[in-house]
Amino acid sequence: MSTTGSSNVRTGLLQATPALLLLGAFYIFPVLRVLSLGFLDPTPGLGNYELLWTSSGIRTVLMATARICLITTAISVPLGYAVAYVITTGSSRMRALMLYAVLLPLWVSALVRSFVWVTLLQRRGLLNQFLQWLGVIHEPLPLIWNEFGVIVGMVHYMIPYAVLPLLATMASIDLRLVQAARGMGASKGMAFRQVFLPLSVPGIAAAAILVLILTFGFYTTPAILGGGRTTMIAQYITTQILVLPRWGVGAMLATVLVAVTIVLLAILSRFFDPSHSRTERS
Amino acid sequence: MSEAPALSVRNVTKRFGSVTAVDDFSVDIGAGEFLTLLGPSGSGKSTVLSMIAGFSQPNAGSILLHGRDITNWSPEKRAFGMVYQGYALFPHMSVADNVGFGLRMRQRPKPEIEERVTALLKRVRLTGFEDRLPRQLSGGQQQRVALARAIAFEPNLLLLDEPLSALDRQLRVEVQRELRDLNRDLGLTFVFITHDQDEAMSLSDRVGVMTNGRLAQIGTPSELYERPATRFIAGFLGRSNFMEGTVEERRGEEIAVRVGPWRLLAKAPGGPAVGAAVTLAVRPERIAFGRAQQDGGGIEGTVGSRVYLGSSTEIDVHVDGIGPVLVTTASWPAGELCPGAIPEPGCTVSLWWPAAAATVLSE
Repeated sequence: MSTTGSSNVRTGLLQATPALLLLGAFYIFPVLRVLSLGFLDPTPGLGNYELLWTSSGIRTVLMATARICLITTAISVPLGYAVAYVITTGSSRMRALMLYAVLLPLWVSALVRSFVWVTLLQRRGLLNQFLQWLGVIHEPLPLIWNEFGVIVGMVHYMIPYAVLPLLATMASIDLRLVQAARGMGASKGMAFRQVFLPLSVPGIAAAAILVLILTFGFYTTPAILGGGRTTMIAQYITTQILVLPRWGVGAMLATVLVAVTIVLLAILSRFFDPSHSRTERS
Repeated sequence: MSEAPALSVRNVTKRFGSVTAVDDFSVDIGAGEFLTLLGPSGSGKSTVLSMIAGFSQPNAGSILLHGRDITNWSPEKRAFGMVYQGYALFPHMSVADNVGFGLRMRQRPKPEIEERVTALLKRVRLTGFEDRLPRQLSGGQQQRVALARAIAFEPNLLLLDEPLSALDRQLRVEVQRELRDLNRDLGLTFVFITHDQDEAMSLSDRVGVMTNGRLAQIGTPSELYERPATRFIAGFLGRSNFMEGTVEERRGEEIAVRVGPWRLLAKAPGGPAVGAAVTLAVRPERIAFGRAQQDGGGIEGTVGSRVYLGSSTEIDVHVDGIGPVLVTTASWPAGELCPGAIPEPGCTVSLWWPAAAATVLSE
């Protein structure tokens, strides 16, 4: 394994060299250049990183970002789980239909979707008008230009991304195991809790991490639905670099974003690595 | 079976869309009986099992457990043990947790569960494997865990869905013996599903043969072998020579059938009338070489080929008006040590069988 393995790696690297050079020159090098500004601009040192502790503005943005991302994940994954469960256990016709319904929104841009939410959620939007017409509320609810609006838009965007890894995991669960549990005296709920749920845990973890990674980098949706009041880290970075411009601070925050993403990806890869098969871990 | 049947399946029909998977199926299973449903794939036997287990509902008919209608009971209320093809052990639970699952679902006290699991694992010779995960066991060991799990909660009935098909030949024989012992020791009623006729014959008290969603015939293995009702069963269980002809004469319980130039006798009490077209089935091992020694069938033909199988030898004889007739004969006294006892290819030979050896098939 060791000798053939290393020679395989060597020829593999050789074949990948042109692509690696291209990536290095046009992607990795520029990215590192920009990220290095966090240590160099305006003066060399860790001054920009000190801001993580000293600047209340940056702390607020980071806290808001973390809060919005965690809440979005906490809502998207259970909703995605329910959808994936229905698709997995439903009839084949139902399965095809629901899969289309899940995948279709992926082709609609985040911009369009965000504006659709604006028309639905604004002060004189469809939802507020409907609730007022029902007499449930007298004053329009503040559904938009705040964290609530951002989370609604992001959850909507994220559900397909939660559904797909969950579907992949659930498809590999032998449904006869649930049957077997029922046959041995487990109620429907018991069979789900004792057998299906534990076997789907890798899918839950993968979905949660995938959604977290994607939400950290969200820009369009919070920009539109947050109304400038709630700023997430991606927006904040844009402001630092394009408006102020404080390249050093922007680069420092971008580095933080990249670091968090890499850590999450490392965890995610454990769940999708074929050599760590699902059954082996569970 | 004088007592009430443990399980009665009555006129059950199951349709999937326009396909009728099970058609007016009825069977009574006695307490402690080992009943096998035998059939090729697509014959509806698995659908019957799934309805007995409660995983699917019949479109018509009912299922009775000791006389009580359980057709609408959920699987967990029926409390039938089940052994699946490919075991279906819970991959995330240890061997002990798998075996104890049914007891935990019944909220039995922990010490009782532990005691029972220990005893069961001893019964299936897996003491010391309590903390292993199923994937750390061999196929045969997994099969034994699946068996222990299915009987742990003392089920009313044990359903086995082709449990041996994933095992190699030697292990299969071992698990077959284990199944027979369990059936005898526990007095538990077994419903076994298989497409392997040898397995069905060697394990069961009774075998029900299924084709196209219907029960074609049910009986003890010897009844099915000696008196197959249809051509399909005669060919599916063991092998048969088929001879088509018309009834020429009826003499009491016997009929004379004209097949080409031959006049063959067969026992058929209350059977077909003179002039009716019938098929006779004769097992290859019932046919002897030589002139007829009593009433029955006597034919002549030319030896085509011979296949030496150790304990027996198969001989193909070509007979005018019938075609190839397969004859099996004991290789001893014959073969190398006794030249001439088994006819050489090209020889003309006489064959005969007693009237009782010919079965009249209803088709």
